Amino acid sequence: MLNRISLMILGGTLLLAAPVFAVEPTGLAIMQLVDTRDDGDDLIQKMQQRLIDRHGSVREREMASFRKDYGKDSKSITYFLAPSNVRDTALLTWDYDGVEKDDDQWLYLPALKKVRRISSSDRGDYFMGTDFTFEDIKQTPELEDYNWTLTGSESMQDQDVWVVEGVPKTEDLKKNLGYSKTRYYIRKDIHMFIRVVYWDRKGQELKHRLSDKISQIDGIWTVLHGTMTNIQSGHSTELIFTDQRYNTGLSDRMFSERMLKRGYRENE
Amino acid sequence: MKRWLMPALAGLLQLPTAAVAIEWTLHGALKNETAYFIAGEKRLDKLQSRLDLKPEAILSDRWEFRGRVLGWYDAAMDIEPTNNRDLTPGIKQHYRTYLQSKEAYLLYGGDAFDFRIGQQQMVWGKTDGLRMLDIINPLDMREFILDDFLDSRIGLWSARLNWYADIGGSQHEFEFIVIPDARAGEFAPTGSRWAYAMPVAPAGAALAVQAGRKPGWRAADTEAGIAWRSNIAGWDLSLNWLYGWKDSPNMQKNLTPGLLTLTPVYQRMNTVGGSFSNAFGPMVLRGELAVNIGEGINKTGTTPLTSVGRKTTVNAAFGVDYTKNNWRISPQLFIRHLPGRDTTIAEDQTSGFVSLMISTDYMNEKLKPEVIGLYDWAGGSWMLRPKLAYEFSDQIMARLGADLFGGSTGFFGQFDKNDRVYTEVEYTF
Repeated sequence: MLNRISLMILGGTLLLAAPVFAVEPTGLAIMQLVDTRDDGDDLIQKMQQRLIDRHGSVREREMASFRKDYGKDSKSITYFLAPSNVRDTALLTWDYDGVEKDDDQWLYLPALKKVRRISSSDRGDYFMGTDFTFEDIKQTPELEDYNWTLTGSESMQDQDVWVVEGVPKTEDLKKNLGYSKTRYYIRKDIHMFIRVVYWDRKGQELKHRLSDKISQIDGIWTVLHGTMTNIQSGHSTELIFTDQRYNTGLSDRMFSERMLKRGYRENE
Repeated sequence: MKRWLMPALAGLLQLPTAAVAIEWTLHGALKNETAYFIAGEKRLDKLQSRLDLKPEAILSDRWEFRGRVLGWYDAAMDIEPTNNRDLTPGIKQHYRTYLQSKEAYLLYGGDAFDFRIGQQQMVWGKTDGLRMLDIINPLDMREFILDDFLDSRIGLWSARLNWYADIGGSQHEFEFIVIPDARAGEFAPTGSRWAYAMPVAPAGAALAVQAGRKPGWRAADTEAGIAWRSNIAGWDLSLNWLYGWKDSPNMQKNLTPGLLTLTPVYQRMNTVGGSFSNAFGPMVLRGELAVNIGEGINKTGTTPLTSVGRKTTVNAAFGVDYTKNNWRISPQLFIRHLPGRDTTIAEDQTSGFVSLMISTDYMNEKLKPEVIGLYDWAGGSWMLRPKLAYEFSDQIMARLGADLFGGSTGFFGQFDKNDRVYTEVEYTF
């Protein structure tokens, strides 16, 4: 009898408590929401990079990028438009989902007039002098590479956010990615991260990433302004995104060696 | 430049004006290149003020124009005193000024093809520093191979069609090239410090060099090429064929009592080859093969018939690019083999080079150190090229470097007395 009453009380408690625990998904589930949020089937946009060193000296670059999804894989091509010393350089990436297959990457160097196959395995390498590594410029990190943990919820930029920490699963991955830990602040309403903190391989806080201007374009939530600051070196990279066009039906031929060599055309 | 081509191009450029506003852009660079010889007779090698202009125009939805003009004035030729060895009035005149169109072509971008007509640079192959399959455009070797290939390639008036087809689920590219403007390479003037070593006349004999018949703008001299490219199972592959001219002449000898006469002989050859590259983890493997069928070669004889011949040569290169922690390490191996060589041929049956490039960057790519070494293992000579580049701003870049040579003979050893240090300051716009 006592057991039956105890079970009833326990059951009632669980029923009352259930809504409280069930609303918080796991860290991995949240990152999967980030990974699968609607970002359009294809995207054309322009990007301005401002590379600012600790003395305040600024270098600026302008780029145009094209991306198209192929199921869980995607292809992208980025053209450097300015300054003149990097103009016509172009990067083609075939980004494969998962970790079984390295991405394929080709770089067109106008000074050589050649398309070079480049290795994409060292994801911790920095991209063209910015504070973003090749891993950082992906839309989301490879989820399989990290153990994800939800560490809490808080309010940031007047929004409710989940705080999710990702720790690379192996020492080799830590070396490859250049990080021992990452912490993502993810808006609960639109499943976008608005702040990321990175720790270097030695466990020292390394970089802060902030997406401080987000807007809906063609019904898709889009980052318009972001900054990555290396707090160890004092160098930062500011990104300004403009002229977004989603779902224009980009042709497959955009993402080819031919277009790397042809260069950027406004009306593609 | 051919007389009828420029008006034709100019006419084509005018065509779209009635219907569409042409959008012109002009980019380029102002650059100072200063080099000083630190071996042999120490003196200024060059003090060049260079202007590099790249006009481009979008003529319509389909048509574009792309051009490039390079020119300079070398003040070293007026600062250094004239002599009768390596700075004769003729040599100074050769080096003092330079003005050439490097590219001037129209591009038509179709849905499944690109067509280019005009003066072009066309690059084949996967290797760096030395050329095996990259043989379409000859080089201006006024500074040996130290100039960037982009600057030393001689633009050729040509037509090129690149056709793209989806076959079996993968993209294939077919390239067709016709070059009526056949050209030979340009070399440093005889007697100058970058001139190739000439054959030595026997004791008591004088040496005379005659002008040879260079390939030119003649129907019989036309060059043609075909290439195929694709990515198959992750491999970037190409097959290439060029019916062209060997860029450098062979020296036909005629020894008569008291006189050795040399006549440069330019010869046709077919080049058949291919290239590959693929990435494996942190490494990229790349290579190319070029079989020159009927390549002109030098022989040991001293008569016109016995001093020059033809042979099939096999040229192969294999390279690795290893990238890790912001360091790039690229070793390459180049091999040249003459199957069935006999002792009358004036080169080793197997020769070649190894090269190593190491580079990295600091300060968010503001500071870029790099070193390239090449070793001629058949001739026992070498070249070492350390370089440090610093980007002051988006527009201003400075470089400090050296070109060092070792060995007494061989491809690099002949320039053992030409070690030099240099600076470059470049403003791009």
